Amino acid sequence: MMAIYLVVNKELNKKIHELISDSDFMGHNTWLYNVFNYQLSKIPLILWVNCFLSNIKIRKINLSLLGIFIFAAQVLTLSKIQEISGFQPLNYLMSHILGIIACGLFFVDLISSEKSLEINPLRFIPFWFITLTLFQQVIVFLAEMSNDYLAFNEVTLYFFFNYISMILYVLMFATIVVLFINQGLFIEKKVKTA
Amino acid sequence: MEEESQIVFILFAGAFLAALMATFVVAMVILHRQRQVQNKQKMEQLQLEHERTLLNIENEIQQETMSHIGRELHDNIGQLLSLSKLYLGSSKPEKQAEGRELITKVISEVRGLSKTLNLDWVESISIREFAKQQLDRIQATGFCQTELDQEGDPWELEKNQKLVFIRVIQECLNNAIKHATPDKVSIQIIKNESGRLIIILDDGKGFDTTIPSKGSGMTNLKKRMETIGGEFLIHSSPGNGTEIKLLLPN
Repeated sequence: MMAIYLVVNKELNKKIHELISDSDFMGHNTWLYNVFNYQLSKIPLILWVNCFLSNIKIRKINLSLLGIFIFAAQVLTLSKIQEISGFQPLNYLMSHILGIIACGLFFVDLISSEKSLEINPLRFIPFWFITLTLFQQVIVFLAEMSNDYLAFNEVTLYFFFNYISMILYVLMFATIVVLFINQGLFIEKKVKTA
Repeated sequence: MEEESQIVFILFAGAFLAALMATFVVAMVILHRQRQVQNKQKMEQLQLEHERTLLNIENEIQQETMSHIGRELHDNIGQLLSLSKLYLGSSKPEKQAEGRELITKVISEVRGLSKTLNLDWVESISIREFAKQQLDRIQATGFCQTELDQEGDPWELEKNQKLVFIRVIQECLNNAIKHATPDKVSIQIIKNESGRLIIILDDGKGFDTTIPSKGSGMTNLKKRMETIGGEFLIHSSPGNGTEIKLLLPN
């Protein structure tokens, strides 16, 4: 929403751009994606995944990776190695790898912790959320890596990846909605009573 | 041509990654299921072992009870009946009255004994009462002095837990009498926030706990306490008596 608003309200966009960057304002809102889509969005995702980890060691690894990512992303941005108003391929790479590793850690926890022995993963809603997140992160990772080529040479394929990513986003949100409707982490069998 | 091959590469890479992820997720689910099955088998085995241990304990308690009944019949009831026969055969009315009193006593003794034939008494007796009974029995033989202390509220135990405690206390006291030749044996029953604790203390010969024992008595006692989630701790050194702690956390 903010991205759309800044495309329309160029004045505000320019003001913020001048505040955070030394480069000339070209009318883009890339900085917003860099900050929100690739950095800040990872914090709730990792914390959300962390809620479902029962092994303290794996939790610590997950949070440590988040800390390292935030630190590295800030260092790269503040040192202007990755300009905030332009594309930040290193930050994108780290951001997607962090998301993929967090999902991987969830699965490692699932097959190693004692608590998860009692659950049926197919009825565990976060399992589906994290599976979809993993697929989404991998697709976006691939799209980002081939972004330059696809955007200029094969737009159809570029949109194809974007559409898949969007569908996965919708499914991820659907699992969150199911989580709230279900009022619990597990989909239980309903027993019909006369 | 080069463009086409790049598109094919990206599509293949995408499909490969998606397949890889799907395989990964399916593999994780299968691994999880396998772990669940293994864990279930392990739990069943543990349950079986637990039940077998409890059955052994019940058998041992019954054997102990039978030998106690045998001793009672021979040393107590048999003597009382012989005496009653003598008194009842007497021509003196006061002797006959004494004989009848003895018969009444025999009846009550037999009633008491019959109650110990099955394990229902385990449910009605408290650990404190059982410990007192055992210590009184030792004291009555004149073998050594005994003492019983209880701190905190009376214990509420499940039947299985009580069975294990009874058997372990019995075995510890038997060991003390058999091997330690103590002057005093004491039992402390403690209940606090962390759990329940029984301390069996004797001032006998003691032994070196670092030397592995030839029998499997101590290992059995330890295992038995573990079956009810408890701990068996022993502290002893030659000449300094033995302290055994039976701990059952809350």
